[in-house]
Amino acid sequence: MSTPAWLALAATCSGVVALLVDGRRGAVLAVTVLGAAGGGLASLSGGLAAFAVVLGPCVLAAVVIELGARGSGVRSAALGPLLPAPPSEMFGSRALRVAGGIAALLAARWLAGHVAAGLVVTPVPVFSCAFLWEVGILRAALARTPQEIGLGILAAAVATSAFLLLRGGTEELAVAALAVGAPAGGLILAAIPRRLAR
Amino acid sequence: MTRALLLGSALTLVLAPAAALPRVRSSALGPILLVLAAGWPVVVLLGPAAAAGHGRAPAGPLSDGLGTLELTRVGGGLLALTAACAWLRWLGRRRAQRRGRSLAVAVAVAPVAVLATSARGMVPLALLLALVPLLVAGRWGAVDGAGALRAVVSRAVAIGAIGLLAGAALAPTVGLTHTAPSLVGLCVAVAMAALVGLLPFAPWSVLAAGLAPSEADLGLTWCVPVGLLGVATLLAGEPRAVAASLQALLFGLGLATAVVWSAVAAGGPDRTRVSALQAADVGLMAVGLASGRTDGLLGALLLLLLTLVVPPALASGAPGPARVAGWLAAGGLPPIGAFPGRLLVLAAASTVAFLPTAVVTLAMGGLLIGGARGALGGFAAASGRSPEPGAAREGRGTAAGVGWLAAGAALLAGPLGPVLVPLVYGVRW
Repeated sequence: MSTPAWLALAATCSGVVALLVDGRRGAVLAVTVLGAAGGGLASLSGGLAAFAVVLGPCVLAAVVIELGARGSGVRSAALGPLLPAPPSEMFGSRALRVAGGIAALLAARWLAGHVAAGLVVTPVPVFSCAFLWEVGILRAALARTPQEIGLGILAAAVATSAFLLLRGGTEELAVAALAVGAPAGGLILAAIPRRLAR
Repeated sequence: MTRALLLGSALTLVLAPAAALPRVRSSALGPILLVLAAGWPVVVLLGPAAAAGHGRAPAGPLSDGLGTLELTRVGGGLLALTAACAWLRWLGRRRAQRRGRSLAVAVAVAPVAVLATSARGMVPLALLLALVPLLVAGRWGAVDGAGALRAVVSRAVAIGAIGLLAGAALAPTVGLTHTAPSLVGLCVAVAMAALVGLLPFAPWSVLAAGLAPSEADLGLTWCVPVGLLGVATLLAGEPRAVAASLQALLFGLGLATAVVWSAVAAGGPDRTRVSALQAADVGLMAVGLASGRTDGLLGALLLLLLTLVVPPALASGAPGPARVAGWLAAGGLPPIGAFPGRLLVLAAASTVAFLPTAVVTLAMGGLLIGGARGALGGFAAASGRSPEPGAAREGRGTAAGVGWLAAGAALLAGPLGPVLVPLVYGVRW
């Protein structure tokens, strides 16, 4: 497999992680993995600078989320309720996310054949970006906590940023930074303990 | 048609004050007169529209872009207008309802909103538009209580932001494949529907009123105007292929929103009537913008003015008569308030096909009835028969002055629309 294919596979796997992860360390794990995989995808056209533009805000957000969760007993960084769904519910949130994820894979495959990313000739990276957008929508639409909504928006923002960089290379660095920086900033603000924010 | 409208307006000007007379309004005749005064345009407008529609082929697809209009200072006009209206709402509220943090967020959103409405090019416009609901949703996330409600609202806003992000990324690929324009149009239309509260995302704008009023204001004063003016900018500047799919989707969603929420305004519970009226007006604004006609855009801009001015007149601190006037303006009692704006939207819709004409007319009728029912409730509150919230404080303090000011503005904004809209938005044609 070529390098773009490996990076696209990594980005798709990061989308699966972001879609399914729950629990106390879920937000930190998902944000870090998304940033690294999205940055790798963007580096295909934009090089190291593009990698840093996508990864930097995500890593910063992950660090603040972790520190905020340690320093505060008020807000938890846990992604979703820690208690499992009651047995009376046949399909929990994660089961719905799995079903949506399978449909999203098919939709992303269709999209990849109908959208071109300019500089990149193979449709595989476009497939990964499309999948990350759909992961964002699924995560936000099935969210149970504000953190999940924030994570959904960040997944879509990483995909947008990576797609812009894939298409335009380093010329799109500023716009890509805005696209990924704003949602990451929102996650950072939400993770600051309330007693510090006053 | 013109003669019928003039005669009907004259009839309204006689019937509405008569219904307000103390003896009349306390009898069964008051409500009948008010419904007659409010309901005649449904008959007058639907009849000729139906006659014109039968046996005639639809006028064809929606027109290109924004017709012959040019908006020269959307950002500045929006900032001035929303700042003035937000200040009015702030003053018209009780002290306990004045939340400093929501005001701070409103101030923080202002530069982003102005940049978004002044931006040229799909990518910066969509990214800045996505930032506005994110800021607002960030504030909502920090409000205590109403967790489930907040989740519904935040989800819709999040989907809007994601749609805009995807649209921004895909926009530069429009010329590369045949499917891309439709995909971009779909992404942006879904995002705009979520942002301004069209169906199937409409509940958020109504449910937001269930949060603290100052929090709901954030969505109404920023998300709705910025979203609609963003649509106008996109329609004016984007390639025809994108604008066409965007227009078609928004036109359909706007019609559905208008008719559903006008029915809720007419027959639903009192506590959701204001929000339902506003949600239906947002649907009509989308229809006006998406029609691509000059009169449709003017009507949408005029309704936008009304949407910002009416809530202070209906706020809890407003005195009884001011609240009644606010209801009549919101209901679109001819020839005042929202009526001229809705009439312009109807004129724009009538050039497309018969069905949209009938749907807009039905929505107008529902809104008139909703406004009349609200006004009747206001009469009852003014006469002391119904303990409406805030009735005990009527006629006193700054809130009363603000209520009167807002009511006057709401009543006159419609008739003065041809002067106000160019003045605020710098419209040229």
